[in-house]
Amino acid sequence: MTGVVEQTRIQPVPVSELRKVCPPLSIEPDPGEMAPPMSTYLGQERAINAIRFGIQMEHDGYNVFVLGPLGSARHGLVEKLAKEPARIKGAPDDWCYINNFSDPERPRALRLPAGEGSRFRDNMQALIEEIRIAIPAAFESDDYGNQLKTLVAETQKELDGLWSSLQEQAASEGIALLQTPTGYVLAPVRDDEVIDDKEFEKLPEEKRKEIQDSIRRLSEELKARIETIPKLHKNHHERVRTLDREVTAHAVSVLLEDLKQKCQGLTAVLDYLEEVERDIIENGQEFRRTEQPSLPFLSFDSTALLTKYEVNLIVSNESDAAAPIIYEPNPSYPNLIGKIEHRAEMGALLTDFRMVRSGALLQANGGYLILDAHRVLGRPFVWEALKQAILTKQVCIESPAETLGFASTTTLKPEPIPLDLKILLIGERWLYYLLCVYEKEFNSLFKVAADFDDDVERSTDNVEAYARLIAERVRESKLLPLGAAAIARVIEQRARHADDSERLSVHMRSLDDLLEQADYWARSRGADQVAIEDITEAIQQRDNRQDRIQKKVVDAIKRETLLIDTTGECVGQVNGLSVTDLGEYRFGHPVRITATTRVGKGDVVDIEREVKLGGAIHSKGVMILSAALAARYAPDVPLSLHGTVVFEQSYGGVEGDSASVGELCALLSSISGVPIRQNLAITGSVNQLGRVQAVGGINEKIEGFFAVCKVRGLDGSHAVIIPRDNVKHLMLKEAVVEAVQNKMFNVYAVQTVDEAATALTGMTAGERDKDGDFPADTLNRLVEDKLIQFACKRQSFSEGASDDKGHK
Amino acid sequence: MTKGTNNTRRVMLAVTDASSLQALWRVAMESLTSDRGELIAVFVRDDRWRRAASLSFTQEISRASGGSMKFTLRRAEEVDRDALAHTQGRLQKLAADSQIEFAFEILAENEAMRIHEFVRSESDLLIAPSFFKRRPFYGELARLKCRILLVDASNVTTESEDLWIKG
Repeated sequence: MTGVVEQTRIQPVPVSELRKVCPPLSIEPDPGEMAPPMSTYLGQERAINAIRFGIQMEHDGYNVFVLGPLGSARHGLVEKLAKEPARIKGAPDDWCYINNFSDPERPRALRLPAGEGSRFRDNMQALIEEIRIAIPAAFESDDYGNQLKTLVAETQKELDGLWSSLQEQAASEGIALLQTPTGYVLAPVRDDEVIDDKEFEKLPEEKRKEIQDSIRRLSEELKARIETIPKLHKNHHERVRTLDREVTAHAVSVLLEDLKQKCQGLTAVLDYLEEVERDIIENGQEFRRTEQPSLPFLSFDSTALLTKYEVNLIVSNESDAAAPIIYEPNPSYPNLIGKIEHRAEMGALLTDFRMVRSGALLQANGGYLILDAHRVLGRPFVWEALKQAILTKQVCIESPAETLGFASTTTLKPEPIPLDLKILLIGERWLYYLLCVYEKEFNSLFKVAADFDDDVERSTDNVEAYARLIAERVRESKLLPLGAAAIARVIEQRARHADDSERLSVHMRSLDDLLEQADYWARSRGADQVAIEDITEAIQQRDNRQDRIQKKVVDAIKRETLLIDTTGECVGQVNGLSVTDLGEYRFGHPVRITATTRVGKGDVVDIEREVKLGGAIHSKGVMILSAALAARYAPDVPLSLHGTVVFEQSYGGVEGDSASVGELCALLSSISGVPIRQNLAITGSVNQLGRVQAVGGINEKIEGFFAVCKVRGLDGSHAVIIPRDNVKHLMLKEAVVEAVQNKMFNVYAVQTVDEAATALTGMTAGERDKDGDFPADTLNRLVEDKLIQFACKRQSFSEGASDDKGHK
Repeated sequence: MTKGTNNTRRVMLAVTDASSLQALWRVAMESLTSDRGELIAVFVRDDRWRRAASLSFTQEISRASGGSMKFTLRRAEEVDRDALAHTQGRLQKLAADSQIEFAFEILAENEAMRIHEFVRSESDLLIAPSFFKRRPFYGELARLKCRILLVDASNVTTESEDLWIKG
């Protein structure tokens, strides 16, 4: 076979281009030498500049969406870039929730300079403890007792006055004023003894009438005096209340004076302390209640009332700290916005301002909040709440049920807190583009897109920088150091990961995985340095863990369950190459493509598309075939061909146009009757002009065919034909390179369909001469002749049909 | 303390519903300095309510509302029962607070002289509210062979302090 391909003057890809080897790199930084600050983010200048811009832009909406693949170290970069601006910004203000004395259901927000929040909270707690002692003590003092006694005595004197004067008046008229448990009885007396009915009957009529008149009159007087008693009581209570206020005010003002001194300059705090003072004075009585409950569980702790003077510190910052950089890994509604907790008491759920809890938005207020976009969008109500917070520039802590108007019970409505922070949303690219299209407000809320690159140019400088990056990651993760050859091997693997020998993948998670796994294998063999074989072992072991399906496919081909010929020739049949992507792992394998042709209307049928197994790009590739055929072979006659192409034994979806050059060659073989060599496989897309174009997964495809040929036995005849534009992407496994070096396997690069067809058939494709004809004994000539035959046949069929019609 | 023998000094505490028990009790406790002391509380029923109720025109005027209703014999008995229960309850509380036991006797006013039966010796003591002096039965009491201590335990108006003003 080698001779055949060589006869066609198509040269194999040089071994040196099959895998761009990296020379050993000795990067031995001084132990004390620090790596450049952004060395970990090689090739991410665009993203870095965007993030810096977004962080520093003060205007509304300049939040940042960091888009890039998972594992590209976006979180680390964002945090690192935010650190310096956060340091310059300094700590933002503290925030507390305090009782709203006029409307306890609407707790008030109190803003304090950084660090003052915790001091104020502690001072208020201390004040409460002092009040807890000072107020009862004031009411238990002799002074208070004496003053109260005086008030009681004064009121009693007034009452006594009412009573004694009436009693004296009654006595003077021979009437006794008796007291029952609920009232009074007026009864006639004689010799200090109440007289009974018998004695009363003995009295003269006139005396009896006089007594009854006296009693009637005294009764009226008694009633009149009884009516004045409530007023006396009221006056007494007012005087006692005034006394209590004075006592409380004296006790509290002394305590509060110190605190007011400490809070000089904090106007809002001083205003609040005034309110506290007024409230304590108004309710001083409550703090000394000692009533015994009717039931033990109803016990009343009067000092619990003092809790309304506590301070709920919801955002606390150290005065000398930097602005916060918060990453919320679980941005549920409560974790992001905050929540109002409840406590169960006697079967009821109760809450107050002390149970308001802040979320990540408030914790990051004045700084930077980092969120994962897919988590924000995946949790109920969170995206809407986040948008609302950004748009209104404030946070209202309320339950989602409250927000949606579903809450049926009374709850708190804390005062909204102004928001001033930068949100850094991290997500994958597709999410960003979807949000741009479907979320109208998205672009005005996240005006900065920081797009992480997947790879970086494999220049000399970048290779050295990459080596330093490897060394830095090893140092950070406390892994065994890498030898020069091992570093070079890692660099090569990063090129392979980028699918490009001229670029290096900057996907950090996969790099870290490789380094960690190589470290494991190095330690397993007791080494103190990671060698090249440890890198190779890590790669090999990772492949071994994931290649179950690949092995099954190869085995099925070996056992001829999947029909792939690797020897001989066949008309209308070619070995295409496809790639199966399993997410973290992908592999290539050959797939048989067959084509059939007959006279027709000039269409090529894609069976995959007909049965809806073909994707749009695949169908597009097949449609191009019709155009390419017509343009190349039947410029002057109607293309009178009906061709079908199919991926044999393919039972899943087929996508991509990387088989189109193979499909075209199968069609040409079918049309011309020239067989295709089965020891070759081909990949590449083709345009209408017959130009072969680059495809993806080139390394996996070559390795896939190599694996099949290897199990059947390499003899030097096997080869893969690839687009020339793909040569720069080659980073083949060493086993393949070695086989090529030993002339047991080959890779050919082609630029046109003619080159591909020539290589596959061994027959020169041929070019049109000055008369526009293909030379005799060339593939193209055979194809064109056949198509002209098809056209003639079709014309004769058409004329026959017309004659039949006319005859009829 | 009340488990007395014949040699034990007896303190008799004459009370009515209209007397300030606190004051009387305090004096009684001061008098019972000896471990051998024995306390007998004697409730003297107020006969005035029954007498007043026998009169057809007697009305009870409510302290709370000033309204009046006829003061019947049934109501007088009810008041008497309440007064007894109330006084006994208060005495029991005072005794519990003082950790002391006492005997409780009930006498009608016209039986006041039966207090003689409780006196054993001249060292015994009768403590009574001072307003007893104005009551007809006091003449009988004055002939007791024991000492009598009258305490200014004001009656109606003093008691009214608790009832009218809740402080």
